[in-house]
Amino acid sequence: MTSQANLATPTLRAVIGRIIPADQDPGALDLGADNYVIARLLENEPLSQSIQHGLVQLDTAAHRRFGSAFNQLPPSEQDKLITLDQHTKWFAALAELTAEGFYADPANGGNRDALSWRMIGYEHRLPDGPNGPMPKADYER
Amino acid sequence: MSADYDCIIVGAGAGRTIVAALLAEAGKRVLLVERGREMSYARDGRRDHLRNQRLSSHGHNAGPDVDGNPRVFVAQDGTEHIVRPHEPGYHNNAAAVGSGTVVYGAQAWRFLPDDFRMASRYGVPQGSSLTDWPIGYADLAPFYEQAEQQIGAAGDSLGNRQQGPRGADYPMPPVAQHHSAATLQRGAAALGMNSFTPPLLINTIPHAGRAACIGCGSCVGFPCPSNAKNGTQNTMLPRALATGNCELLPNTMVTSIDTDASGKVTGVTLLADEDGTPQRRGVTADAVVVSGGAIESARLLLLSRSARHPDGLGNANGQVGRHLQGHYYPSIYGWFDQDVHDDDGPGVTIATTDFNHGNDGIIGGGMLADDFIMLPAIFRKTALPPDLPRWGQPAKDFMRDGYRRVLSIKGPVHEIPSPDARVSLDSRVTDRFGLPVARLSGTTHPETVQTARFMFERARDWMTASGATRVWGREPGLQLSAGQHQAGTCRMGDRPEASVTDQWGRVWGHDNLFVCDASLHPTNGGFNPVLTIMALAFRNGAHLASQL
Ligand SMILES: Cc1cc2nc3c(=O)[nH]c(=O)nc-3n(C[C@H](O)[C@H](O)[C@H](O)COP(=O)(O)OP(=O)(O)OC[C@H]3O[C@@H](n4cnc5c(N)ncnc54)[C@H](O)[C@@H]3O)c2cc1C
Ligand code: SF4
Repeated sequence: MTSQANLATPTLRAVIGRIIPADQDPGALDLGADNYVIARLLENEPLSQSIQHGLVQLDTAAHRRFGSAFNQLPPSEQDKLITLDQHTKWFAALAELTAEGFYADPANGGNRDALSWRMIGYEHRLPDGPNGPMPKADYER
Repeated sequence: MSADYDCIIVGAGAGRTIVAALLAEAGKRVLLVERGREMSYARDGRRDHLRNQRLSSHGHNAGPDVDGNPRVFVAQDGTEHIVRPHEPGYHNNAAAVGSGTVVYGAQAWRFLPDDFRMASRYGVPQGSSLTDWPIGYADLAPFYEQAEQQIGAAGDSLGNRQQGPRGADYPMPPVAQHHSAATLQRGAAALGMNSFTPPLLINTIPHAGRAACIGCGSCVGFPCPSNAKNGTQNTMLPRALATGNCELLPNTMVTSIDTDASGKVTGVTLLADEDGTPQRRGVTADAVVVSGGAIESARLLLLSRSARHPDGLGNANGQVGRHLQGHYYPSIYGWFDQDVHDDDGPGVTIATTDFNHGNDGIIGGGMLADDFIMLPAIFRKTALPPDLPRWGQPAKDFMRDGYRRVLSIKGPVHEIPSPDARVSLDSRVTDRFGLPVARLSGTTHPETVQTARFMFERARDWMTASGATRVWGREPGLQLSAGQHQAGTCRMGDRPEASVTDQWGRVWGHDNLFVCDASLHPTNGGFNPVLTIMALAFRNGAHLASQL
């Protein structure tokens, strides 16, 4: 079984950081989308395996092509490597999960203070805040 | 010995709470059994954007639970997949008191007169089971009115030029139109189309003791913060319970309809599920109404096998579970060079019915409308152009610049049914109670694809004429549809050989067994179906009350 420690690697975080990069607005890592991704992967062993495998190969390619670990490369070189993998199943799944966390309600853990909604201009207009009424236990999940 | 109840109703969704109210108000003792739980805004209003009836990436908010409720989906290449409720191929609607109506978008459409006579108008394509309804628009019109008045609809009574004759106006004014509607209105005018505000079962003004809509940005998929959305759980159910004649049993599954040695229906077997230890017991009634939604109603009839009915109840002619249909939903997206987004929920504000019928060389057609406010996660998953990378700066830029500049036009297509699109019982897979699960197989008749592609092009024209500078969408292809608009599996008709019930929903060969939900629809109209389900329930419920 995959553990949190197996998953939370610098390569995973670096890739997530390029899936939704920071610019004038926060990126995936700034809002906690990496934590959201890890939480989902811990529930899905087959997907977790395939993504870990993909990340190892990505890192190998980084060493071969640029002589450095993926997470040490400048963004432009990271993007070149990701482009080669962008249609693989594991990367597409990782991109989907990252975007889910980043654009979903803050209680899902990847959209701190609903900042992605502020960026795109979505208004929730709920009397109780962005997540609607929440039992306390849910917050702690 | 007298029966425990005058009537047992299986499922507390759109149709049967109406029947329950009508029977209870007529003094009948009614038991309403629902496998799902009761929902409220305070407890269940949490906006989980990834686990709801609109986007179920990881589960639902209105049931059924992810575990213990599988189905089997047979793909077009013949491969079989065991699917959980939130996975593609399951075709979920909901499982809760009120079912889909607690969280629906509440579009409240009457079908058009020609929707009830598709075979007469268009002929029957070879291999399809296109047919007329056994009743016409005129038979249902008074009951559409009862649904609009008693559940509570808001609309523009004169707006829809194609509609059949109506009596009373909608009890509430339509939702306000904002600048997305103004944008699309320009396109409609340029094309000479009739467009108007679609009817909704939403309080646009305070009504029936409940508040008006507060325009939140997450209507469809969630319970309402101001209780302004009119489902059956906040309208007909309280009426039924207020009589003191109706008992509601949530968290309880009906596992079979029971018959005696002569084959007469005597009651049902219940499996209560509240605290995790299933409790089985039988209850008797003079009549049973099956209202589990098109997939589960068919499954329950098939599960109720006995020596006398080896293929299930009402299935002597092999009709139960066939003609499964829903709606193809062609969708077009358009990019505008200015902000066209509305923040005021629910979002759907403009529609046309100009293409429901009378399209050259095409069978039927469908209604087109703009969309509910798309939640950001839904926008990201469905609205991006196909050639845009799903990662990196381009994807982020598109979300930031596009969320308020993209509009969508979409609509339900009147399907041409096939007898091969069906619900049967799977022979291997069982649910958490050990009962065989629904197995879904087949597709609609291929002619549906022609109609869907035609509607896709009409949506494209409308979007382009409205000033979109870039337009995209996914071409419809052959599929099984069912999902939230599932229908057709216990069709009513004039002849037992070609249908499951008569025009009152009475199962052929059984005087005291009725179906009352979208299963009855011989065809499913080019509209969201719920007002038709409700109207049929008002009609058939009144009839049943007079018979019991
Ligand atoms: C998010 C969403 C949005 C929608 N928006 C619209 C809209 O805008 N307009 C529109 O017209 N329609 C809409 N619909 C569809 C509409 O809700 C359905 O068409 C309608 O609810 C179907 O009614 P029904 O009576 O056929 O079945 P249902 O309402 O599904 O009722 C069936 C009930 O029976 C229960 N049940 C099944 N089997 C058993 C059993 N064996 N024992 C006990 N209980 C059982 C189920 O749990 C369920 O609660 C929407 C649905 C959803 C989910
Ligand atoms: S948009 Fe209006 S009717 Fe819909 S859930 Fe929000 S407040 Fe309720």
